[in-house]
Amino acid sequence: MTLEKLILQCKKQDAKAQGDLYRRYANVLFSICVRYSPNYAEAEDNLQDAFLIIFEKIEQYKEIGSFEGWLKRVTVNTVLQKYRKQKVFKLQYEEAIEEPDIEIEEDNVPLDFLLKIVQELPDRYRLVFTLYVLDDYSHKEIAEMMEISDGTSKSNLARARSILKNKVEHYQLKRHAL
Amino acid sequence: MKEKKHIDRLFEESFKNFEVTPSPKVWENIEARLKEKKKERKVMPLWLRLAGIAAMLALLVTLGNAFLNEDNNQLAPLVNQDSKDIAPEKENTDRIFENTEKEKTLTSEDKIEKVRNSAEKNENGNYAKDEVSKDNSSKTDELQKKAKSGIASNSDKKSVNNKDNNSVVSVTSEVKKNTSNKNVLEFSNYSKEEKGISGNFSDKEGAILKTTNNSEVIASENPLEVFDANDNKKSLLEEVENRKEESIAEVVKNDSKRWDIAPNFAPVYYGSLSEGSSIDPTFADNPQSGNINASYGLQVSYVINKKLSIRSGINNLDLSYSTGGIELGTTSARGALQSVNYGDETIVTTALDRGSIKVEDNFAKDGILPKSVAADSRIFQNINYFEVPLELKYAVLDKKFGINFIGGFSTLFLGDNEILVTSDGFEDVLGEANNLTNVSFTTNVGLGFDYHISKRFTFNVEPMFKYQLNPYTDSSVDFKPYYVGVYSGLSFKF
Repeated sequence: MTLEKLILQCKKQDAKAQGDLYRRYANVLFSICVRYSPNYAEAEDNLQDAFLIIFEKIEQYKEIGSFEGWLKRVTVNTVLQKYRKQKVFKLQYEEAIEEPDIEIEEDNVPLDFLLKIVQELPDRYRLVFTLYVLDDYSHKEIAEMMEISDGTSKSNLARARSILKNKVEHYQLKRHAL
Repeated sequence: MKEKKHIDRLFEESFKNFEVTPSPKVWENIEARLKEKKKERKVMPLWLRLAGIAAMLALLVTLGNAFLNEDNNQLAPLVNQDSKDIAPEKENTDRIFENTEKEKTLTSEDKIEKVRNSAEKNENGNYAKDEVSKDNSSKTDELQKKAKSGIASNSDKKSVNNKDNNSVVSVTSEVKKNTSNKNVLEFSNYSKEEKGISGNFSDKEGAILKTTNNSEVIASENPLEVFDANDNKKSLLEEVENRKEESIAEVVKNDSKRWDIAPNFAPVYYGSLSEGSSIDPTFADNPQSGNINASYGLQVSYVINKKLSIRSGINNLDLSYSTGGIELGTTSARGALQSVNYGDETIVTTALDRGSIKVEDNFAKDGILPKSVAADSRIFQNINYFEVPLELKYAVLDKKFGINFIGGFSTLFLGDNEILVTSDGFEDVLGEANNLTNVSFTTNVGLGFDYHISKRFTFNVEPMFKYQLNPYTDSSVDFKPYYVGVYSGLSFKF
């Protein structure tokens, strides 16, 4: 089935087409969910929510821009909506942080570990970091999507980098010691 | 020594081809939820369809019952009055037909018999014309009397014949006065036959000539009778026609009382049966108050029977309610109220629960800058609908002063709507609500009080309660709006 036809069938809420669409995009969108969620279980919950929204709102997809891009945006927004409202960031005065040294030694750090430490970040740090570094959103865009200011976005990113850097360095030290 | 590298690069590169497969459980859940949703979706229209069918059936049964019930004059005047007025007429004419036919056949048979008799008697050499006239007159009293008197006074066969003839003519003319054309024609056919028969006989015997003359007289007088009958027939038809017209006129008269039209006006109060908020769930516990607005329109109603009438119309309906306990802030459209369609604006006014805007060191937390924290800040929702009701009105008391029960439903077509905030003297329209359904329904119940000013004019006051069934596209909105209006109007029957 062509993509156009698949989309059309999904717009008619055809169950078979919905299954096809899921199989076609589940991995890509799940990868997004995993990066934005604190763990796999929640990532799966978020993937489920994202697909339900996709199937519900597919009517609104007007074939402007790529379909995959639209799916990704819906997924990211679904996840953001869930975590941006959880006010768990009473950590520090976020605005004051500046991290000049964010360079680390070139080393082969396994993806599993990197994913784990990203997931362990406080919600907003994780979201801002993933949006900015992995999905190339600008601070302005992030500010809008997250309903925060540009400055908050920048400081959140700095905090995230700092935490990640420490963890990577710690990991490297441990491995060198072995 | 290994090279230093920006931490972003490390993550970027590592995650470049990152792809994971979710557990099959995810799809199972999605599938289950989709099925649930489909069921939900199906339930609503089915319910609506059933309600629609039920309403149609109720209407058909009521109307059908009304029109098929012949005893009920009021229900179906056109059919009933027509048949009522015409039926007796028909019966009468039928009877006349029967009568005349009988008499006619009798008289014509008489004559034929008479001719035969006289022919036989002629053959037999008997000139007993009085017998003929006796035979003839025995069928009709009048005739008999006249014939007898004729015999008594004059033994001359001619005079008997003449008298006989006259009386026959007078009888037939009497009969004919009530007959229609058909009968007359038949009659003249008879007389033609008679003529033919008597003519045949007359060829043979001279004595029959008189009888033949007799018949001929009848025959010759027939045209006159036909004219008479025609006149009669005309007048009869005219009468039927007149009656018809009368009954039609009556129908029209009756029918004219079936429709009435009433411009109406009502102050309407908008409220909610639950504590939710349609603007934002966080306002659910805020003080909310419905406002009094106006509804006005035109109503047309049709009287089904004395007790029941059905009505519809169109009303312009404005509703509004306001929420207090809020403060106003400025933020990006994404962070503002979800239920408001802000259009293209990116920096907009939003409303929050009082005390939720946090400012630290002049920097807005959560990206919301305070705009007004005045105690009188309120957020208003104004909605305009076009309402098309379909209601039944049942009269409990139908006197000069009437009391009615009213029930039905309305279809609401969404017109303009806006959400606006007021505070400290300023007013700011935020935009349209994006969670209102374009077509929604209400269930309506109420009481109607009538005062009949004249035959045509009635003053009504109707307190109505209308509960909205599906005002919001988002079923999670826990706001169950209703409106109460006291509709008053002057209805005009036509």
